[in-house]
Amino acid sequence: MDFEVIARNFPFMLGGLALTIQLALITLAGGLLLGIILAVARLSSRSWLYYPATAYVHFFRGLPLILVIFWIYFLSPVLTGRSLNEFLAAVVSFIVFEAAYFAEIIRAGIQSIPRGQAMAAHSSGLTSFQCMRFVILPQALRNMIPALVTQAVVIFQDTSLAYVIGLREFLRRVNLVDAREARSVELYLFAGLVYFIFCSIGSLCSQRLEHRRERNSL
Amino acid sequence: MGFLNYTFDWSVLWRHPYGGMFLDGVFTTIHLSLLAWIITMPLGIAIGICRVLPSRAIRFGASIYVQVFRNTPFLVQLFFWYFAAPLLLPKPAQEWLYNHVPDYSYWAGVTALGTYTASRLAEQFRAGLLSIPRDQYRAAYSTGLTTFQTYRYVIVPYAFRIIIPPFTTEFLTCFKNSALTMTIGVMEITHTAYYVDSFTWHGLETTTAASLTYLFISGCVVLFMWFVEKRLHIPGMIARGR
Amino acid sequence: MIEIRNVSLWYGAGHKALEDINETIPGGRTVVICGPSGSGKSTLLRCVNGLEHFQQGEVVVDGISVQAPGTDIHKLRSNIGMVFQHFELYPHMTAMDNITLAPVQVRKKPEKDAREKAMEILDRVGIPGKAFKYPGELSGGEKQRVAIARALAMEPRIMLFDEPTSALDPEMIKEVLDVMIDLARAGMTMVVVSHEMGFAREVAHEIIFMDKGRVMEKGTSHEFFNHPKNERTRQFLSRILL
Repeated sequence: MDFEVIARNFPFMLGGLALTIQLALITLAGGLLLGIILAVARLSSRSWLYYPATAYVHFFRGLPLILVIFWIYFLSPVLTGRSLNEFLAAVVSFIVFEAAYFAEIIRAGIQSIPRGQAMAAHSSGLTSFQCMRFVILPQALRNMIPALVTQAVVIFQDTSLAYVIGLREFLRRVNLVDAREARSVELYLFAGLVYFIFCSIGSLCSQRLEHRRERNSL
Repeated sequence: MGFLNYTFDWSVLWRHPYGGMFLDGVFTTIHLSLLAWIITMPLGIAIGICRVLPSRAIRFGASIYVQVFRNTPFLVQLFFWYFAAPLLLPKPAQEWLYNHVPDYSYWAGVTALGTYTASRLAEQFRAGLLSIPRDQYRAAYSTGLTTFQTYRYVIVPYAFRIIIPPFTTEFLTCFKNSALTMTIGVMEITHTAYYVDSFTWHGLETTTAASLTYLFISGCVVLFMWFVEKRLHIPGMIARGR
Repeated sequence: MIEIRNVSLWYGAGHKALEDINETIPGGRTVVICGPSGSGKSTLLRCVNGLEHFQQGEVVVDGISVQAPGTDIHKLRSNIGMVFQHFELYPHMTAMDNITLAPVQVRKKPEKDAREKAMEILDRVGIPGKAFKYPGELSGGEKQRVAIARALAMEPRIMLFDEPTSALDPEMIKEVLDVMIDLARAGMTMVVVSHEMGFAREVAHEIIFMDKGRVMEKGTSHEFFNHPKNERTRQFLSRILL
């Protein structure tokens, strides 16, 4: 076992980590935003909002992310006439894909609030918008946070898929080092460890938040 | 618009030799997923049960497994099994592996997919076991049933119905993750789509076809499981959403 | 005054929840509606403030038709207070905030005035000290009294109660009923769905018995308890009264 190889290539591989984190954060922000819009559309009684949003969610949840990445990669030159740079292709694919998952989490969160709450709010004369803003959403968001954090952890892991379009994020760099140094065991254990540390922290946070919520709820 | 510069050629999907390649790809995806699932089911259920057994040591060991496999990306695990795991074997075993096992990437894929999905399944199974109220056990014991009888006649049939939806979701996730084995060279659907593009420059058609294939197969699985759930449904047990 | 004219309501193909209900409730009166589960009493109550949509008939509250297209339903609802079986306090807000939310957001009252009024009402229902507690910190009886205060904060002309004491421990029923009796004696128009016959005997001007979506019998409390005309009513009374 030669762990020197990790030390020698550390800066190179860590550079990839910065890119990974960037990708993850942008995806998180974009995915959440699009997810909220989709969730509200899925809860709407207006067909022109409900059906497209539902189709979108089922479509992207039924496909592997890797295929979505390829699809966007092949599709964008056709639509825009020029090829997309890798980072942008990755970002767009991730946002488009993860939004479908966020949409379901948010929708479930809103639906988990008992009907009686909306009835009580409406019975005092509050409009649907006021009811959402003051009564439903504050409670729903509180309930959703553990699931949202878990999804953020998933996103962090999914960034490794940008590998397939050659983006030099963390895993791709580990792979490059392995190609040169052929010390696969040490390198992939190292890669695993790095992801493990980040994701464990994320999962722990999610669990803590879950416990805190359970203690505080009625 | 860019459309003008792109002529669609849907015949890439059935033209020789591409049609054959696609069919092979579809079958590869299906049997790879099924083989992985054959590993996953018993392994996942066993680990799920270990997580709730009285022995602290067993519980701890099982939760280590789950934590490790859930907190590392599947791609990393895949690479580990493909690149790194053989190096851990003694020299003679390594030689045998490289020289006598064709499609080593396929088997590495099956192993990685099987062990990864097992960790997820274990969690779902554990959640299912824990969701059964303790009073069910108490009621059964109070009528004189032994532990084994309680599990056989009361707990397992009940738990079985609870876990069908999460198990279906996990199978579909396994099915989708099979696409990742393309990174180590397995010629499943996604890889085939990419590969055909490199010959024909018609990647849009191939990836569209690949997408529709995944959706179709997922749809069939969901329909089948819905049917199974209906057959096994106990009236009034699980409230369906509004 | 509440006028219910020929109201019928059904869900889906077969299930008729309300069948041709005709009732008039004059201002200042207390009406108690009782009946077995599924008789439609809560549904009828919810038709009065537009929380349920009925397919036939008309409900006119103080001259305003509830389902007419031009009706400002939010304005109408702000003049009708409703109290629920499961309290439905907003768990993420203190009692004070629960009470002041609607006056501030709907009537655009200044926060300070709303709080003063809230304290007055809390005093009136007997729990001024609980103003800044969260619902999770209150007992059932206290929660329901906060719910009543929340409804009263909008200064409604009509109060609707949907089984207000059914979810309470027996020891707490009295404190809530006392508040309701005070309100009735002060001249509030009240429609109460309840099985608390003691309350009905004390303050109800009229008692209505419903079964399977229809009004089976109605009368003053004296007539109702001592000379029930309908066989079904007699059956119901014999079961719930000791």
